[in-house]
Amino acid sequence: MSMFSRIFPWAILGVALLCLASAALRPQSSSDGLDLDSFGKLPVQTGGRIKPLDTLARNSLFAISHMGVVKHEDGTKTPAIRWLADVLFNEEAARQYKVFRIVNGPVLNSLGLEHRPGFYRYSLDEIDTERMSRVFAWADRVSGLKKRRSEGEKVEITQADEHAHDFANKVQRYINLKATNQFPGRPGKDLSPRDFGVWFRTSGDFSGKGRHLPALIPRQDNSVEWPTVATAMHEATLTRLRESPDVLEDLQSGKLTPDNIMNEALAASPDSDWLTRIWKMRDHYVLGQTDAFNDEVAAYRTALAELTPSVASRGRVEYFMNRFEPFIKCLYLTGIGFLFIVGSWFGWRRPLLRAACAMLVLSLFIHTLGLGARMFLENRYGVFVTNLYSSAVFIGWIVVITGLFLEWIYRNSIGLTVACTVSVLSLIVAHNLDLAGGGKDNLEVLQAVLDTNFWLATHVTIVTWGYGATFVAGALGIFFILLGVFTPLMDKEIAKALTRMIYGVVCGATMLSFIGTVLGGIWADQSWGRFWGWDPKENGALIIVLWNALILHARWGGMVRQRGMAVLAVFGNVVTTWSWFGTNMLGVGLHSYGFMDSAFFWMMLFMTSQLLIMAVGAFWPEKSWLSYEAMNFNPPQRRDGRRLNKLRPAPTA
Amino acid sequence: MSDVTLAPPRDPFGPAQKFEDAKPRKSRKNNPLWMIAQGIASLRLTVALLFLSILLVFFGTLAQVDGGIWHIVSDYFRSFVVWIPFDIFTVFASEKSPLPGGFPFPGGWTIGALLLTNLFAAHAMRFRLRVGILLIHSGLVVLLLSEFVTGMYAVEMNMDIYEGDSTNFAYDTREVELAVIDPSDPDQNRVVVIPQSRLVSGEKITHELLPFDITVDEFYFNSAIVRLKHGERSRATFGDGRFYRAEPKQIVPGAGASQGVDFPSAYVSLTKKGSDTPLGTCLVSAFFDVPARKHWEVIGQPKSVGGTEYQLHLRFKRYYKPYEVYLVDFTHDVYKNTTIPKDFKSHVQIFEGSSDDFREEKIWMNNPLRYSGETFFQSAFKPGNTGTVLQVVRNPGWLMPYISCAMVSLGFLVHFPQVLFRFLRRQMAATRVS
Repeated sequence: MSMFSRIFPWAILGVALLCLASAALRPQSSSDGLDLDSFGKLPVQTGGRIKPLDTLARNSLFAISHMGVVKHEDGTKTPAIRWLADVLFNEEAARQYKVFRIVNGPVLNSLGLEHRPGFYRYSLDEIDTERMSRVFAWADRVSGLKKRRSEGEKVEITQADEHAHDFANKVQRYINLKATNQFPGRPGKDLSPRDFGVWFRTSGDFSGKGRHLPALIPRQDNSVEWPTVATAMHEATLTRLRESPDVLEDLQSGKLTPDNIMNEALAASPDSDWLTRIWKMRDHYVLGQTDAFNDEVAAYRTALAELTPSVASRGRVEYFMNRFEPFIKCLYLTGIGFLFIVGSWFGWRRPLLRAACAMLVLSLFIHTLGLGARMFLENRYGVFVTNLYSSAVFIGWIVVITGLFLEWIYRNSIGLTVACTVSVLSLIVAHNLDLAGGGKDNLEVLQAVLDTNFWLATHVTIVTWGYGATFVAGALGIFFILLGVFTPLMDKEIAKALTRMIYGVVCGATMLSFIGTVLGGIWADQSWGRFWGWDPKENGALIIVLWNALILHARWGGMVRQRGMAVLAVFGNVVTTWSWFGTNMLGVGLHSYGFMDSAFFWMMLFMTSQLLIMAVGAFWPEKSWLSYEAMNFNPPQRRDGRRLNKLRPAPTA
Repeated sequence: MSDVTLAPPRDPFGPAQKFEDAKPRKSRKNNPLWMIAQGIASLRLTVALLFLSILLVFFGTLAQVDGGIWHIVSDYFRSFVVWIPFDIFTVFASEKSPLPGGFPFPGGWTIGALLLTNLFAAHAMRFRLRVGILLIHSGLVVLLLSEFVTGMYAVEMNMDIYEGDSTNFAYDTREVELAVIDPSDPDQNRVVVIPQSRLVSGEKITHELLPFDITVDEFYFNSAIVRLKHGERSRATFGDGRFYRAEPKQIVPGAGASQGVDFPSAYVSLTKKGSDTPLGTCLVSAFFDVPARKHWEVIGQPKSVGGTEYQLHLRFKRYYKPYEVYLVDFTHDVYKNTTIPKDFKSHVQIFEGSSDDFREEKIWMNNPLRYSGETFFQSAFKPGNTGTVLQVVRNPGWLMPYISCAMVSLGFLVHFPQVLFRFLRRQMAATRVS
């Protein structure tokens, strides 16, 4: 082997590491010198957990704009955290962002906006207040209709209705973000009584319990309710006002100014330190005092680390996860690995395969770190799966491990190929599930019945592992059929190896899905006294167990051999997809947590493709398989020791 | 270097003949009984039955979209034969048009029984004794039997208790009963209870303790209660039915603890015992059996017959207990700054007999209480967190899945690693040598 061939995999690994390191270390700070990296790590309590502002920014922006960054019409981009800083601190700037995505014609017409095909995004400044309130009234009507429909009445809700409702929700989300954190007046100017009055009324509207707004004033941990700035400021001001009954007269006579009131209220507030810091942050931000802003953010973080180190460190980790996007990096790495494998079919086999292997191992490393970070953030160690998104991520991980294990045993590049393909697919699915969430937090908290680490770590993990194993078996089956029918590459040895791999993986899948399903039953017995309820999700898992058992028994009974095993294994994909997604789409049952319309199309497409492959495997006449001869005869080249076949096991030195 | 020096390793996972070891002796070969027994014990039958059960489970899942879960469970999984309508295949169609027809299919009992027979026969006739497989299969037998025991004997009930209040019965929302209450004795009510199976439209019910006969004019499995419009005539001549009307509704689909509940209603007519002299018609409905009301006073439809005011009361089937459960406190935690529930917890005291002899217990999500053969689960709560709804389950087979799980897991642990390591050893050796 030449020197270059030896070095090539290591060089690729080095380049990949360099790229990853630069992605991890690149700061996000905007061009004007604001330390938005630090600002994005500040904690906020919302949606039942504490997250960094950066997560809030990304999720909110995604909900409003269907993108995690602000993309301007000229193609330039602004990070979400910059947009959030403007929303929180600088309303005039925030209203100019073209982020509200509106695609529906009737909604655009009633808002008096022109169509922007391809861009679809509008700023609040472009929308007339009166038209806006008309659309809000429309959305209210739609809410009423939806309520009636949920009570079983037959009402017609048009697409335009849905879009109007959706738009009103987006605006409401924006208003909530803005209002939770408002300070009176403008920085650097005296507070006028009028501004003070307006501020006092709105902050009153947005304070108090039951509003569930993002809360910025930190506390020790998540076991207490954090106050929002609006709540804290409003209460402090109210207390101050109660102290002087003649406020109005004093204000008129000039004995008191609004600034006096605010300053005194702030000084007396129990959250005085935090409020003052945030207020100063705003003033510096609006006035463009970059260094002062950065210092204030740094001071805030120091104080936070003193108050609650765990919140501070979680904020840092989550911020890093948001920016680094480890699972997207895994997608790239496995994708590149797949390209190397494809390249290896045409020549220069060993170096390319080793490079692919290096990519896969690196991806596995990052994947593992990513999963570990999620556990740290959720404080649920051993829990891999808490929602549909994380199940797809976990399946991607399982598949890589299984594939590498198969490769370690067989050294014939089949394990690598399957690991890369299935992992890429499952990560794409994960990414799309994340996008389909429409800005939903993918670390969201769990409903009461699911909030048990023991069962999440056992039942959910094992069942999902079983899904992953069944998919691997299915992929091996597809590999068998495609390789045999459409290439002359498969010989007796490979067919035999593939069949054994399928057999072994199906054995594992049977065991995992059975144990996982029964554990689920035991959980159900523990939580509502019914081991088995014939719920769709339970039935889906049962079908996977039964199908895997069927494959094994068919094989033991000699009803299927190589080709039959492969065909049956492919159907495992269909069965698993049904259990994973199909049952959620039925919209009934306890487990239906992820109904998605567009996903239905992809699911059907996938299932159809699997059935087609099965049909090819089962009905394509044996003699027309391109590998027919290789599979049925010992090829003559074996006797003189030459290896013509590229997929044969490579001899190891 | 050549890679053909080694003979290929023997297939370690066992080709087909592994389980066909016990070849029939020649004398048996032509014996028809032996051939039938072979068929019953065959793996072909196993595979066919597994396939049928997959189909059954799939059909039963689809059918749940439009049918109530408990009807589906009893029709599909706890039956011998089920009629499967073609209609269930249209669940994903956006515009539903009813599809006529259907086909018969073996139900859960049939498939389960055949699987058991097949398994026993196979073990009797074919298998070498292998601990792993034996454990797995025996565990499966226990699991199948546990589902049978559950299907036959398990009872699921709800118990509603308000804070500072106690109750001594639980009720099953899947079944109703018509109670006729004679409150004339101040110490004890005399109650005649007519089970749902007798409440069939057109059925006439006579009971020795009642001075009248009851005819069921109409029975609705699920219904809505609607206030009569002005001038609308009612079928009922006494009771609440003079102001309300029952409207039949489709049974509620859905599964599990949070499932929707069907509210049956019926119009019943009373006639003088042994004659056709009408005494009146009334509407009875599970809607009037309001568990939301704080005290479970008698809230039936009153009718005076022979100087006694009887109460007719269609209620969810009740199970009275030899003990009383007192709710000290109910707490409902949410994640801070949200409405997402984090935990529900009931603090109860259970009194049996005397008032100072009680047990203090706390029940919360995923932490049930086992007491006197029954299990109490936190299930739901009353509006405003004023009370709790406990699910009470009596299932004599509740332990069986645990035993089964232990057996099967052990079986897997014995069997698969054995096979896997043998395989790995050989494969690694083969790879190394080549």
